Amino acid sequence: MAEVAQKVLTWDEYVRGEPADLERYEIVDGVVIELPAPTVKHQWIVGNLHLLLKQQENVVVVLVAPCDVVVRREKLRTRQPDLVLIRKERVSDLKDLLQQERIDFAPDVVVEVLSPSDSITTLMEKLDDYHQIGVKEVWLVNPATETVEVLVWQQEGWNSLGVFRRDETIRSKVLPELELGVSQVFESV
Amino acid sequence: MAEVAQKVLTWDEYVRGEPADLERYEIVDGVVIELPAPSIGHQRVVRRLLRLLEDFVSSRSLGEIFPAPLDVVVQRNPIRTRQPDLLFVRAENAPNLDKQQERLEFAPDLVIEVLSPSDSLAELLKKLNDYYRIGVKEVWLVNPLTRTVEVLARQEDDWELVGVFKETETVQSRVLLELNLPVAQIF
Repeated sequence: MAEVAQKVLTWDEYVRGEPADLERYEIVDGVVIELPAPTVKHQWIVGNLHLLLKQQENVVVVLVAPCDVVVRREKLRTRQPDLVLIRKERVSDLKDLLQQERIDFAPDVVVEVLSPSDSITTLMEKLDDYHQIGVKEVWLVNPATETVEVLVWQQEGWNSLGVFRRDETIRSKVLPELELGVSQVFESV
Repeated sequence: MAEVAQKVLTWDEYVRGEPADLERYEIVDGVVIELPAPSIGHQRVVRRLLRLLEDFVSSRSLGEIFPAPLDVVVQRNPIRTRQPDLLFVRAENAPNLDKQQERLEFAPDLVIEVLSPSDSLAELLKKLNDYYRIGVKEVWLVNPLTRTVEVLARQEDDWELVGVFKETETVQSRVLLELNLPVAQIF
């Protein structure tokens, strides 16, 4: 991650279209942080997940990065998860959702496909942010170990529902009706 | 990690020697969790780190390095203990570490965890929280898979990232300031 400029962005500037020339970025306390271009393998896995989840549209609405999720307006903070999942029944008007320029509410599940260059410290901050806005579940997809870890918030912290391997299916608390094998996520990888 | 028993251990039972038949374990809110046997790759990295750091620390009389298993007490009630792969205690923080002492009841200055592919990130975050709470000043997360060392430094309200150091770089530590440790030597 590279800091693009030390300028501190406000919510108003952001809503008016800043940062104008970037697509892949997060804003942490007003500071715009450009995200590195993902690897081909990373995008392949994101593609697999997108395709698989699209097939379960009766259960879930799935959005793929780059889509801003607003964490807070003061000391502006936005994140761009690789995938955002919203339970179908929460989306009363899909047309309305598709008009939005950003996600200004808590998605039900956030999916992050990890990169070897990711820092645990940054991941910790992101997980804090997702909890702050009310995300109930996070999936951490790890291409290096070919595992998917499902985290659910319980009492005072994120807890592991399981680290699922290639021969297992992903167990989700928020989307229990999903049928998704880990091997499908890493198909052809 | 496998839960050995659902029995909830108390501080008194622990001090009297429970869990009796285990060496590699952590206790999380009274529940004993057996740690899986580490892999050869993991132990190789631990051995190199131990040798390199021991040389550095003892030649300068900075303090002491200890390898696992050594219990670090996080809290007594409900009892929580951790077993970092390596830990460093500065000489002035432990003027006379008693040889008979069976556990560490104060915060090490530096904790090093060598990650395994089977590690749960949620568990790792809980450990980091525990280390922060007891006052650890720095943590290294050594990842054999990515061949990186991530250094976290204690800040007023949370861990701060010092850097993720790659094979071409040297580890930058704020606790071991003059250390000049190329990441490549660890892997």
